[in-house]
Amino acid sequence: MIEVKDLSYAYPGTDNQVLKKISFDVRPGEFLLVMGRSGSGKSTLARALCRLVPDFYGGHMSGQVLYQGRDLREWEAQSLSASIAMLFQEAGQQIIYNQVERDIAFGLENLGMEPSLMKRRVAEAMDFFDLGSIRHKNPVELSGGELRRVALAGVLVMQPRVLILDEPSSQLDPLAAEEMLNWLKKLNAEMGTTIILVEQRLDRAFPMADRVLLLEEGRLVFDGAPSRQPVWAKKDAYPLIPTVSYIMSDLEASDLPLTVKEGREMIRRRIDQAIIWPPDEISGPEPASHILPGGGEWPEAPFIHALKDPRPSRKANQPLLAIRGLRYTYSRQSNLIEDLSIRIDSGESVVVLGANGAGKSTLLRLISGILQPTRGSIKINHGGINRTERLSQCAYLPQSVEDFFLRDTVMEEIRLSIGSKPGDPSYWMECMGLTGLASTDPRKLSVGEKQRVALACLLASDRQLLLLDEPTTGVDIEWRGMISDCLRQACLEQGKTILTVTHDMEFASETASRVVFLHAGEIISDSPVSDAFADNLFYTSQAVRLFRGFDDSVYKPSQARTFMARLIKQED
Amino acid sequence: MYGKYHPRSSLIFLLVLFLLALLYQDHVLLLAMLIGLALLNLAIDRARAWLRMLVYALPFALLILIINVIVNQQGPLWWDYSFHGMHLTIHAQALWYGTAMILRLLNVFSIFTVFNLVLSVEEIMEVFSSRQGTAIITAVITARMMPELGRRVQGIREIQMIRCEDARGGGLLERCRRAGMLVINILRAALNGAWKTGEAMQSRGYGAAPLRSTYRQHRWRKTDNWLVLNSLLALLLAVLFNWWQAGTQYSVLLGGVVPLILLGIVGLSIPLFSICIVNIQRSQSIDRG
Repeated sequence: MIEVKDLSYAYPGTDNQVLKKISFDVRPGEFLLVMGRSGSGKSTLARALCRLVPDFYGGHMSGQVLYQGRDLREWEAQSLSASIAMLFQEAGQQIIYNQVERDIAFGLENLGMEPSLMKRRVAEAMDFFDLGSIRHKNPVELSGGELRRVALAGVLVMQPRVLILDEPSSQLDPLAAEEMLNWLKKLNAEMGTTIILVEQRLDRAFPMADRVLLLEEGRLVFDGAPSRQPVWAKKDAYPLIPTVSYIMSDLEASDLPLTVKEGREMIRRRIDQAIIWPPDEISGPEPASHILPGGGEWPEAPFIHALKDPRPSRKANQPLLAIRGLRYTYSRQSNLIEDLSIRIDSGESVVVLGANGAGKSTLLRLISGILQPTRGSIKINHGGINRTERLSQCAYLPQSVEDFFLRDTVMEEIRLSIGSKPGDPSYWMECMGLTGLASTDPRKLSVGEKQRVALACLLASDRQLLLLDEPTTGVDIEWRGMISDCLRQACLEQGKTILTVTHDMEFASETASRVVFLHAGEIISDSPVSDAFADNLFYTSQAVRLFRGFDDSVYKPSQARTFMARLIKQED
Repeated sequence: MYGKYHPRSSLIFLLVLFLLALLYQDHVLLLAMLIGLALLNLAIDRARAWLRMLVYALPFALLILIINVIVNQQGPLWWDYSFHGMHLTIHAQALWYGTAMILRLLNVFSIFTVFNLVLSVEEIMEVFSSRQGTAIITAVITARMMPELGRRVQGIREIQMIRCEDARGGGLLERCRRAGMLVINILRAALNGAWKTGEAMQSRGYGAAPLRSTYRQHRWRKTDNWLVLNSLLALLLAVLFNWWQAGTQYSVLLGGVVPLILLGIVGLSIPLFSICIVNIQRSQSIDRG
């Protein structure tokens, strides 16, 4: 259906090729997963497949993209728009009109479709995606999951034969992400739509895919069945594999499972054969978290040693943040935050979980001083501090990282965060793998790279309280692990206190010491990470899903992997 | 949303209201209209937008009254006051015209508030669908991008505040420098937003076909006929009343000199509005339900 031949592409004003001699084909009705590190060219490839590159972006392209045997450039825009559709990373970006129903019809209007047929198609799309109750709403009033559904309905109403999606589940809570991928599965299985999915969250996407493409610095380095990818990764010590495969990576390469179901079956078999159960020292010292399949190791983040600051760290159990009776009301309607009280000690790393719209981001904005509470008190460092003081005590990473940048280059951004204090921006750039990007405009980087620049800024500042809103959006698994290590070290060595809002359960399990679950503006549970994950069904890690019933104390991938390694060793 | 009414009938209704606000000279009618519009605003959004409008409109209305009092010296003397040689007089006609102007102004502002609340740019686009061109699409995108840009500006200001670049702190020179950075960042955000919207539009086939069609969301119903008929009848009565009242300086209704039949005809226009208002309220509540 689609044939890509020796595709190379460079954005305007640069000779640096983002895509390098890529060749592959896509068969009709296939579910293709495109994966790779941040900045490896995945989004550019997605845009090239629907002719946005080079039509909209310009730049220099060589090679060919054929759709149904004809070069994409030869296709009439009208036919092409009706055949190949794309869903962008930010769903809000896709929405043009101020009303759901009208926005769904936008694409059909552009094709010049007859009104009666248009009406039928829009009604059908709204019924399929269950949008009837929100058809008159303004998209800005919708939750993340609803917005994704509207954007998806808006492209599917054109009945494309190929649907390209760029990280559609990023920024969605686990339930909404699950729902989104289920829609794709349904479309692929029941309607025969060809799906090309660019995704960083591999755990859910892997089992759905028929084939996996792996990009590395603009080159296609793997093209094959999902079951073959972990085998290939093990051989080449490549870090991007699904969590279940990572946990089981001490097994023979041919045995590596992809799903929780396969993984559990494997554990059950191993336990039946085990001589001693549970394996010795399973709750012993913390294992190294980034040992690669095949025995290789991820490079240890250089900053981990350097973070061992000569300053004496703060005493543990000293409250850094104390919130009492916090309430925040928006537009005199309902309370976004309702009678919330919490205490966070110095050096703690607390993760806030909850559905989209539960009030998580609002909580961070209240603590940072950006918003003023309607009622209640927020104290940082014992003091009953006012808003201005709060603003100067916290470092805050917003959900929309686009708004974070105030300067023209990465170097200047980090320098701004260091301020007048002694500090070397290049050191923090090295820490976050940004060395070659010192003079680059941070706005021009990929989403994952932007997150790393913002995190480097936060860590370079001398603020004691770090508030992070979705720090792993667009970040690949490799850097997710490194960021997690880095944040843990910042707590341990520098006594920083971290409050993170995330939908990334693997990241939460590795980073947090405590998990707070927020529902409709209220804290409904506040417990150590192991307890919180053990009790949850959806808001939990793959490790818990794998080991539930076998060993309920296992909750993070690194821990689960050591558990498996010991089990296998004992058997040997 | 305007309940079950077609945007075209809603637009005619609002246009007639606007013309009536300009035609009516009589305080009783203008006041009745203002009460009707207040009720309508109450029904649509609990009068939140209307109250916000009043905050800006009332000082403006007071200014109109003061100018009338100072400038207009016609009609019987109503109030006379001397203070240290300064002589202040207020004539009845000044008060009369001043208050009528204030009521008219508030009516016009109230109509615009209703207009903003009940008709989206897309619905207006549907009304003028036969003439839809780049200008209408530009208006729709602008309507979408303005609040989006507002959110981005807020986001950038928040980040400036927390990264110690608050435009409100420091000396004059420092504040100017920071404000300059804010403006540059806002422009960057606007450019970025425009770029993304353009990309999304192209990916959704904008400009692909030689002629765009328009999605017809609303159907013309019997209720739309009634709304248009009522509105036009009210306009006709108002024109007639205006013609009959021509040359009268003060309210004929308050003066008690109006023949009963004319009072009845004029009075009809008020129930007509009420019918429209009740209909709108009903359809609103159905929508909410």
